[in-house]
Amino acid sequence: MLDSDLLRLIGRRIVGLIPVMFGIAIIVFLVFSFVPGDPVTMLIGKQSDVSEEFIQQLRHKYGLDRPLYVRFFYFLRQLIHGDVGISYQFNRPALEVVLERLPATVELAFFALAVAIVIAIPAGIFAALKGGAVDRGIVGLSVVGFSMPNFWIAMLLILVFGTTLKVLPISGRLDVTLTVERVTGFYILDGILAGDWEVVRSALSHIILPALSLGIPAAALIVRLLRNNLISVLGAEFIRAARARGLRESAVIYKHALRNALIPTINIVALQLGFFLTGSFFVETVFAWPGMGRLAVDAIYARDYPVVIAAVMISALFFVLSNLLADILILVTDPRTRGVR
Amino acid sequence: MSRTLTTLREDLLRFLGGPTVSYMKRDPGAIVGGTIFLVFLMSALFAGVVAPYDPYQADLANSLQPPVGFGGSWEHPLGTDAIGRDLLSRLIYGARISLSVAAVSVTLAVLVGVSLGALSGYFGGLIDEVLMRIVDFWLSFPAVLMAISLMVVLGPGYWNVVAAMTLTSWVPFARVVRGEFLTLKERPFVLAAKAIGVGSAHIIFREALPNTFPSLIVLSTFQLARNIIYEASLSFIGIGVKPPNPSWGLMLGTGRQHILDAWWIAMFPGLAITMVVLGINLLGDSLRDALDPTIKKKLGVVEVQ
Repeated sequence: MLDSDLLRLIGRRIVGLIPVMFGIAIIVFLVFSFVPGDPVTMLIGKQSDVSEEFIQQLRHKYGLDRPLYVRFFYFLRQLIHGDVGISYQFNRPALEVVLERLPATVELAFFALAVAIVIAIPAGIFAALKGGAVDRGIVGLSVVGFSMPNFWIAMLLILVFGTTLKVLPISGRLDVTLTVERVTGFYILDGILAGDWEVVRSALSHIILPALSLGIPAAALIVRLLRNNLISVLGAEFIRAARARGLRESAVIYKHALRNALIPTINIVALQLGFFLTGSFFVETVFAWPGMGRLAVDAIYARDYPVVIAAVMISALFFVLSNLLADILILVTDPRTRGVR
Repeated sequence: MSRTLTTLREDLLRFLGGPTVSYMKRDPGAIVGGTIFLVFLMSALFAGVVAPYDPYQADLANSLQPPVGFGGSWEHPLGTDAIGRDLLSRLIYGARISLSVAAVSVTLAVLVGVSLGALSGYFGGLIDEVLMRIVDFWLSFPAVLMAISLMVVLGPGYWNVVAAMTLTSWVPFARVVRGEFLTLKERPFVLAAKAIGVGSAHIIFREALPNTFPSLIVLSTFQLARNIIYEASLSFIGIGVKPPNPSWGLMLGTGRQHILDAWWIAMFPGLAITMVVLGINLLGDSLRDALDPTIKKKLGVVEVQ
């Protein structure tokens, strides 16, 4: 299964990520050094009793009094140590602030992925096999699904399930009356670890709507892809051959056709993970979900650029990693791609 | 140059005429999509005539009026917002912002992407090396993040959104054109043109470029849909178009605060975005099927966007 060729290929891809991440870091630094407005001024805000000397001290502390190229090399050196600066809002390392919020975002991404898979795989198979009006209906719905902005789906869901039916909570990760010891940062997992079912139930009910908001457009995309793949595979020679050999129809579909149709689908599913982490900038804002996306949006308003930079870098890293995962999954599941390079 | 442009336009019309149109006339998706798109395009173009009110005119006496059917009157068919502005009028003017940001940015992205892609695919060498590194890099950096970062730096504003959209959407065009040029330059008709001493400019514009039109047209429609959603997303979190402009994304952003007491403020702009994007997607699907059955392969990742 995992032969040495494959491992070498994967290794090379991982090494290839290093320059990509550095490239991203450089662009991010350059982009953010052209920001008008000095963060120290923002930090001090409307307080007028601050001495000029203190402002200079602050500027010096954050390295804002040096020329751009000096700050760039300083930034690069820090980056190697995993340091992107100190958050002006929290007065702590920005990366630390962002990483604290990461589990909330990752938990949401995984649930969104689960939603997408649970909706898309059966619907895609159903559409391809039934054909006719069912097929047209599902394909039509899927086009509508990926034409909707995710933050609008979020508001629709809030309106229906939150304010009209009043069956699901519409903000935060947990009822305000509950707390759970933070072990992994994933509340559902932490709840299970603590054996506190009330927490698990509450965390699950809070995650459903945000996960649907992110998952529905992804499901729409996957349905169409799976359906198209399955239809084209079902027309292939080897399927005719399998039928001619007298295989049961269910065996033809599930063992032969579906397996082949799923390979390219897996790739897209893995890519969606990366899109969830970037899409969460908007969905988290709607649901007051205390994740990285909302933190970043708040940091944008506060001009807390180290936090914005850290959030952008972490999201980009996840995006790159999910691309890598997608490629690896293709290599593992489709033996035909092995000999390519 | 003007002669080249005229002939290019003729080539483009040839691709869009005849068989393409007759295919799309028989495709219900194209008819539905085309109708929706036309309705929005017309309201954007003739907003001044169609809109019943001034989209900026506050009327505090009539604030938060519900739409017709939910306790409202035909005075304001879709209701009013927190300061009494007519929602329907704002939506109609909003179509201008949405469609024009997307159309201008896609046009600019096509110009940049096609030029770089054509040069790089046709001449190869150093240009190609540099471009491909940029493309690799761009593909590994999520476009939404790039757009957010750029908007943070540039600050909100109409032209800044156009700039951010252009910078994040030229890469797919460059990639597709480069890929097609790599194969086109080995094709007999291009080799023949070279052999009889036709200049590079003529070969690029007259021989090779028209062959990329099917891919470019389809890619443009999908990028158009994408940029409409992006503009709305950026405006939604307050770093896109500036208030009081009636951008659909901005309206959604303010509607969020009224989701409990005045749902219509957020619902209708979202519906407008969905409708126009749906229309464009349906048109794009149909164009893709009509223009070239092999196009899916050439465009590769487009479906993932």
